[in-house]
Amino acid sequence: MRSKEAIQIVRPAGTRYESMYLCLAMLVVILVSGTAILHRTRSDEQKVLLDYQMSGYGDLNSFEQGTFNDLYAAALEIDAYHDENDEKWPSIRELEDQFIPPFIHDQAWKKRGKLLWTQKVPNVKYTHVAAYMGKTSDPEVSGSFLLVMSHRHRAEGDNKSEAPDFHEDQPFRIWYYNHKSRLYSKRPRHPQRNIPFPDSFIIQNLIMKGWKEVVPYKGEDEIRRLNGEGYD
Amino acid sequence: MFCVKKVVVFTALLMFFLIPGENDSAFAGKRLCIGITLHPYYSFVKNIVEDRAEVIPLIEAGFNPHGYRPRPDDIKRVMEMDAIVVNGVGHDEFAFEIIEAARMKGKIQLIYANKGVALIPVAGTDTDQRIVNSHTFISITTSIQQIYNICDALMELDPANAKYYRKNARQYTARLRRMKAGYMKRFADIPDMDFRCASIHGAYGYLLQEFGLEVTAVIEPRHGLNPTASQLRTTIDKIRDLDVDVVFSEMHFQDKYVDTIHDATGVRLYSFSHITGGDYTKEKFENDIRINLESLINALTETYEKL
Repeated sequence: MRSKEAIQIVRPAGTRYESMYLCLAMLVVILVSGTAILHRTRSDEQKVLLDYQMSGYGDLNSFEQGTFNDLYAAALEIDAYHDENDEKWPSIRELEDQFIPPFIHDQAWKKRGKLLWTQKVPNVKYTHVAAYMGKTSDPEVSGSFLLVMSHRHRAEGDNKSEAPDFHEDQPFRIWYYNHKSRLYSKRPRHPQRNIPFPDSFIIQNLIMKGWKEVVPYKGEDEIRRLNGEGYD
Repeated sequence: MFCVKKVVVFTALLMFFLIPGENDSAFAGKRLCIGITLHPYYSFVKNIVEDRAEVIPLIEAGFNPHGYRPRPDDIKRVMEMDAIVVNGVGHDEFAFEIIEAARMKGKIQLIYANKGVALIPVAGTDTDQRIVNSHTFISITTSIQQIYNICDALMELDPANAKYYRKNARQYTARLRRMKAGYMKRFADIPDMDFRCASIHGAYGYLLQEFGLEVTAVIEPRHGLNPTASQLRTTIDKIRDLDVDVVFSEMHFQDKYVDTIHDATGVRLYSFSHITGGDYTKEKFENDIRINLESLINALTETYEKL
């Protein structure tokens, strides 16, 4: 004879709410983390380049990047020289004598396409302009470079119409020419070896002649990117 | 009538003393106290200001800036500073933590040494990955750019000494350029050859670039991370494929990875200084850059001799 079994039903505590609380907790964690990630994510916005510009960070090969970096540092020296020497521009010879690259014919110069530098100081009213062009000897290694320095000095009767063309917000600009570059939608007329020294350094003229302005990726751009700020 | 005259003179005098001139800065007349985050910046700033301003390292000598955690003393120190020179694109994130902790954000002038410096990517990385090489202080060319950036900022902060700072900056950069030219002459004596090198850290891109050299492979492309076994294997294979002549190691850096590569590939090892260790001195940058350039010349000479 079977003894009478005592049946006791044991219910799990909070069986109805346990899963719901767990789901809610997961939802809260996901929401909080999602918001935090969105809030903390850095903007990877790229610097916008215009049609006539190229990036000194991504569009130059390593030899050209070296020349560009040297030229960029040299522009600061030339600028300082101009300020301290009665607004004169240093000649190529003077730059070589001061060991300033990329003008000096050193090993790096040899490896980077032996750019031959010449200088032009045009007679521009009320704006002091000087240009230094480095024509490549080896187009397979490097394109040609042009450094345009421009200083605007306060003078009576200043010809304001010239100011925007030289972009007075910058004391210098660096330009690049490579007949074979993939950056051109339409190839420039002159092959690399015959490229003439431009007769005018107004931006529109340089663009028409096939020059591209090299825009550096500067520390301030990287700082802006790290702070998640956009570009103007 | 006399009273009116007196009032006018008094007001004019008051305005003369109270209204700041065009070139006056908030620190005019005060001896500046400038903080720096890394050793090269101590040398740069000290050479610019000489004894006309105080230069204080943000962290004491002997601490590694990589992964540095702020200490109470740092917070106390930062509160005395008028400005801090930072790299801003890497290596000195601790400075921002210290400034935040000291509640000095917005109250202290930040001088970004790299503000106008043209940056390059770490060698061997895709430009799309945008791994910016923050070691602009291990090169003469990019250091000259930084010296001018720092000098410009100091001239604005301290107009009374602006000319003096500018003169010192030009003399200092001229000395650095002469040093580089001297090595360039020695470099020119080495006959042309196809020199291929790798480095265990992506720090030396700027330095090698100014000598027209390229880093073929970087063993540790991301800062502070050691390569895994599989990455090391890939690098060894890469070095074998690329036929690299030398590997540039770091002074005081664990050589076990480089030794493994040496054993596996037979390439020679040379050390470079990262210029972020030891005492803060005015000559530190010049001394360490000289060590690096000697190491580079030795690497090139010995590679040529073995050809």
